[in-house]
Amino acid sequence: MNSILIKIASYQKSPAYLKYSVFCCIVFLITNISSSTPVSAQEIDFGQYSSAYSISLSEFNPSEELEFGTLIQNQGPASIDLVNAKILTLEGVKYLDVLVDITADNYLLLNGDLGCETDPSCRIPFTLEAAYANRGNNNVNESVNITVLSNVASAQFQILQRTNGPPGPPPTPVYEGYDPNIFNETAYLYIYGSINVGNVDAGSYTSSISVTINYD
Amino acid sequence: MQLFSMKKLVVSLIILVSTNHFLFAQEQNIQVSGDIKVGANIVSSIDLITVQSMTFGNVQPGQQELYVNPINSINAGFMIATGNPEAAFRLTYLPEIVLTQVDGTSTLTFMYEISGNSIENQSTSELLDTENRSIQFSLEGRYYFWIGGRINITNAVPGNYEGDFTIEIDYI
Repeated sequence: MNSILIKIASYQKSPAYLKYSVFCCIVFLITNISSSTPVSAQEIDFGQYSSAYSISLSEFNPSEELEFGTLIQNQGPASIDLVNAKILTLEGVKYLDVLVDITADNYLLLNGDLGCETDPSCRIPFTLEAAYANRGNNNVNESVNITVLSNVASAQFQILQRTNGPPGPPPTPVYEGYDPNIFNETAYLYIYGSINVGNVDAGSYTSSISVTINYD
Repeated sequence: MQLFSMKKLVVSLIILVSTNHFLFAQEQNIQVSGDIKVGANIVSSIDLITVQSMTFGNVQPGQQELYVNPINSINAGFMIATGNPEAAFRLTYLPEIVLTQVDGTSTLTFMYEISGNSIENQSTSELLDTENRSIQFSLEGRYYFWIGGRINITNAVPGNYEGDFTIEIDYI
């Protein structure tokens, strides 16, 4: 505001030019205030400019949930390891990065009753573990562990990992007739974990894990 | 001239502002999501209680075999298993064990017979074979076993004999 007043004082001899200068300043200020996109010249994000990219998430083994089976009261720890993990297939453009967020409930609840979240007699603590494989194969030996904090696992990786060597040229952006699906590849998510059965009531215990995938 | 230039500048600035908002609207990334269900079935632990041990009573002179019928003998052993109501379980046991003389080294071979019932009624219990048989707890979470068997005492050395009998019960 102070800068505008100074400009008015110095251009008192030319009213038309004064109006022009003030108007430009005001428009410039409005433009800067309304623009919430920070300027970044270091990264070219081709995904931002294309609505033709697609991504899909599906179950590799639909009939199998993450099931710990029948356990006995006070049995203690029980786990599902990587080899027996729930497998999700992630199909997308191979040269793009994806952001993966996996969030698990902290407890399995008797009959899924939310009232058991604060009742130790009808809840079983669950610890999430997760990994991904992005070499084009469903192979746990090629998997990369995902760090889990408070039952939330987050990772960013390329759908298809680049082979050794320097990065290749930038991918071809979308143009008319270009079909990015022909460059699709499949990555795999492995979801597993463990529970600890204490002195809880007998019955069926359930919880859920949500998985969200975004292109970077 | 100045007004014409100003008009061009204003138009340019308006286009710049409008374009900037259009690109911002296009920043929404593609997203997919899914849910996975986690489950576990918790059952009560299985307990096996021995209510009565099996006895043969006194051996009569000339008697060659002792037999305790688990279905109708008052000398039969009696055990109660408790667990998850209506849950199926598997019974495993060795049908033949060796009894050892208490004050000696003689041995006798005993062949077990077991009968079972979901209600506490020995006379209506049924013989259970040694194959890993699937049985079910009652609505109250109980199952009843009676233990009998036979032993050949033709060449047995007089004395007291004892041995352990083991049953394994597992949920199926």
